[in-house]
Amino acid sequence: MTNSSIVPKQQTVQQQKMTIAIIGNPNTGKSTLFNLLSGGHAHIGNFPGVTVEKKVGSVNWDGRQIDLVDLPGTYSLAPRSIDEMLAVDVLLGRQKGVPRPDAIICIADASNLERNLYLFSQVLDLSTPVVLVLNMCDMARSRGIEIDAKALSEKLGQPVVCTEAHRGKGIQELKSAILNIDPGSRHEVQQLFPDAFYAERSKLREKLASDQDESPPDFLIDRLLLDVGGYVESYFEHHSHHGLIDQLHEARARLKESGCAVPATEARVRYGWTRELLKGVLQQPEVQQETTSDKIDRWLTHPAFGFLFFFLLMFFVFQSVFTWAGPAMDLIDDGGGAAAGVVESMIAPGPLRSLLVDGVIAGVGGVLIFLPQIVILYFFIAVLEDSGYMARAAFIMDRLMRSLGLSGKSFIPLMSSYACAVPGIMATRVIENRHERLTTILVAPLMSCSARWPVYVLFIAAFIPNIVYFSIGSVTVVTLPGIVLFAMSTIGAVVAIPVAWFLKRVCFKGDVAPFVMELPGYKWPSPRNVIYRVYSRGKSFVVKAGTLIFATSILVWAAGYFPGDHSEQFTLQEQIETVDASVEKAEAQLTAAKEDTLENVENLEVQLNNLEATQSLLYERQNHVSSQLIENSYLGQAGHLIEPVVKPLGWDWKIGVGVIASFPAREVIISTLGTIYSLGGDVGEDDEGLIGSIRAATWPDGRKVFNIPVAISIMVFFALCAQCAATLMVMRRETNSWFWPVVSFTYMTTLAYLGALVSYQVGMLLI
Amino acid sequence: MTLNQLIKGQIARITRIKGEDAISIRLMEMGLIDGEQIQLLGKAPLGDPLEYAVRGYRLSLRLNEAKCVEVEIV
Repeated sequence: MTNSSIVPKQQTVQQQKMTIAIIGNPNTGKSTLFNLLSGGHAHIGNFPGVTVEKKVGSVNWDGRQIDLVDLPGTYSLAPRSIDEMLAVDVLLGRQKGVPRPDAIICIADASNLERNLYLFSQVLDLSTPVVLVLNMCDMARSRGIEIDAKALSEKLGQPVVCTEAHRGKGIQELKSAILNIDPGSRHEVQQLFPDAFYAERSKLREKLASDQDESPPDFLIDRLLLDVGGYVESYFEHHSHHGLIDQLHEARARLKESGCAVPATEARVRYGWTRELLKGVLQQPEVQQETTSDKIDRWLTHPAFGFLFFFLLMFFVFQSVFTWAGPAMDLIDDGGGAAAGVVESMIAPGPLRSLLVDGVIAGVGGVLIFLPQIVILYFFIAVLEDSGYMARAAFIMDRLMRSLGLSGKSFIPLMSSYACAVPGIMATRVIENRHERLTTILVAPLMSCSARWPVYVLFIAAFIPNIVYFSIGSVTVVTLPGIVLFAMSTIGAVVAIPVAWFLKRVCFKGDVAPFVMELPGYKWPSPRNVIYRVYSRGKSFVVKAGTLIFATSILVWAAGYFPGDHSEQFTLQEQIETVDASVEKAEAQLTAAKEDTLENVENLEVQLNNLEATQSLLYERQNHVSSQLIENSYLGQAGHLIEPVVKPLGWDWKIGVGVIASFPAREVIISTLGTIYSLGGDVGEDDEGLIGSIRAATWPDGRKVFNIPVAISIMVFFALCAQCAATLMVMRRETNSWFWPVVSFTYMTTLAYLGALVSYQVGMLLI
Repeated sequence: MTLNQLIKGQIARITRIKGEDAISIRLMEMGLIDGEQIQLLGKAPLGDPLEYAVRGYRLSLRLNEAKCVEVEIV
C-alpha cells in the first residue's frame, strides 16, 4: 500500500514558500476552487511556446507564501500533444519558470468518483504529496451517493477533503490540509502493474542512461512505455536515441506476450485499483435512477425541440449583446467626445492636441467602445458554461460543424465573432484540441463583425439603388439594399467553409480529434464564478488589447500627420474656433433680440450672415489644407505608392489610403475618406455630405471614381479583410506566437484583394 | 455488435475496445473497459453524436468512436 512520508509540520517548515499545482477532470469545479483559493489574485499569462493559459495565484495563508498553479482540465496524464505535455512537465518540475510543486491538489467530482480517480491514480505515481478534493459533495449526496472520506484517506495515506466550491464550503479544511504538508516530502509509488512491466522499465532506463546519460523520472519512462503514439514517444523519436524506439517496440511486444498488452493494460489496472479502493468507502444506489439532468436533457437535446431551444437561445443572446450594449456604447462614445472637448478647450491647436484627440482619445475610444458587447457576451458564455449547457450546445451542433471540418465546440466562438472577433477568439479556449482551436481562431475574423456595418451602410446608401422586389401592402420586405447587406454579412461565413476545410485537410492533416466529451449534470451557475470570469476577461481585454491598439492608433496618426507643415491648419483651426464662438454668441443675441426692436434684429441678422459666410469659407479652406496635408503625409505617399496595386480594383489612391489607415479598425475608413474628401475627419457614415462628395469624386481625367462595381469591390474587401489590430493582437496572445496573426492577416488580405478584384472586373463587364 | 448499434434505452456490456489509436486510448481512459455496463440514452438532433450512461456519468461519443467499442446486450 501507499507508504506516505507525511510528517508533522515544523516551525522552520512553516515559513517556507510552497508551490501547489491544481489538477482535475474538466467540469469538476476546478476554476471555481482555484478562484476561491487564490482569492481572485490570479495572474493570467501564457506558458512560453504553447497555447496553454498560465494561471498563477499568490496568496498568504497563516504567514506562509503559497503559489497556486492552475493546470488545464484533463482526464488523464498521458500526454498526446505539446499542450498536454505541459501539465506533466509542470507536475514533474521540468517546466521553466515554475518550480516543482511541493504538493498537488487533485479535484474530483464526488458524484463521478470512479472515473475521476483514474487521473488521481496517475497523479499518485508522481510521488508528490497530494490532497484529494471531493468537490460537489452536495450533488453526490442528492443522488444517494455516500463517501466515507476518512476511510478513503486512511486507505490512500493522503488527505481527502470534501468541498462544495460553488458555495465556498470546505475551503478552510482544504487550506489546513495543505498547510499540514511537509514541502519536499515524497511518498513511495505503489507498484500497480505486473512485475514484467517494471522489468521493461528498468531496461529502458539503462538504455537511456547508456545512450545520452539521460535519466528521466520514472513517470516519463512509464509514459514512454504505455502511450502508444503518444507525445513522450514522439519526443524521444525526434531526439534520436539509437535504437531506442526499436527497443521500445520490442518491450511492448514482450509485454503483450506476457498478457500485459499496452495500451489496454493501464486503463484496466487503474480502474481495477479504483474499484478495490472504493470497496467499503463508496455507497451508491444499486439501480442508476434517472437524474434531474437526464429529465432536462430529454427536452434540451430533443430532436426537434432541442434545436429550436438552441436557436432561440442564440438569438436571445445576440439580440441582448446588441440591444443591451447600445446605451453603454453611446455613453462611452459621448465620454470620448466630452474628453476631446475638454482637451480642445484647454490646448490650442497643435501637434499635442492632434495627438491627444485624433490619436489617443480616438484610439482608446475605438477599443473601449467594444467593452459593453464583450462584457454581455462573456456574461452569457459564463452562465452557459457554468450551468452545463455549453457541452449540450457542442453536442447539438457537432454534426453540422463537422461538415466544415470543425466540431461542435467551435460553434459558440464563431457565433460570437459575429458581434466581434475579439471575444470570439477568446471563447475558443473551450476547444481542447490544438488544431481545431487554431482553425477556429483563423476563420473567426471572417465572420462579419459589427465593425463592418458602418462600411456597408455608407456604400449601400450611396450607390445601391433602392429597388423593391417584394412588399406586403405598404411594408417592403425584399429590397436590393437589403439583399446586398445580407450578402455582405454572409460572404465571410461562406468563405470560411473552404478555408476551414483547407486548414483541416491540408495544413493540419491526419489530426482527427475525437469527440469524447462528458455531458456534466445541470446546475445553477455560481454568481461568484460568473462575475469573476466576466471581470477578468473584461479586464484582460481592456489592458492587453487596449495597450496594443492604442499604440497602433498612435502610429497611424503619426503616419497621417507627418511630415508636413501644419501651421496654416492650426491658424485656421484657431480662427474657426473664434468664429464658431462668435456665431454662437450672435445666434444667442438674435434669439434674445427677437422681442426687441426690429432695427436691432436686422442688424444682428446681417452680422450673423457675415459671420456664417466667413465660417463656411474657413471650413472650406481648412478642409482643403487638411486634404493637402494628408495627401503629402507618409500615409498619402504610401497611398500613391500603392495606387498601381489598387487600380485593378477600381480604386484611386484616396481609397487606398483609407484602407491603409483603417488597419487598426475598419470603421476608420469612414473618417479617413471624410478627411481626404475635404470634409475634415468628423464624418459619420450616414452623413449626406460624405455620400455627396463620394458620389462626386472624379479621376484626373474627369471620370467618376465611384460606381456600383467600385462600391461592391470596397464592401467585399472590407467583408474579407483583417483590418482589425485588436483581433490580430488577441490572436497573438491566444496562440502565443506572431506566426498565426501574420498568417491570418496575409491570407485574409489576399482573399479580400481577390474578392474585390473579381467584384470590380466582373461588375464592369456587366454594366 | 458494436456500441453504435444499440437502441435507445438499451443496456450492454463492453467486451472489447478495438484498436490502439488515440481514440481507443481515450475511450479506455474514460472508463470504457471490458466488463463495464453502458446504456444508450439518446442521440443529438441530427442523429450523431450519441449520449451514453457509463460508470454513473453521461458521455457523448460520435458514431465513429462508438464503432470502436464491441458490446453484448445484457
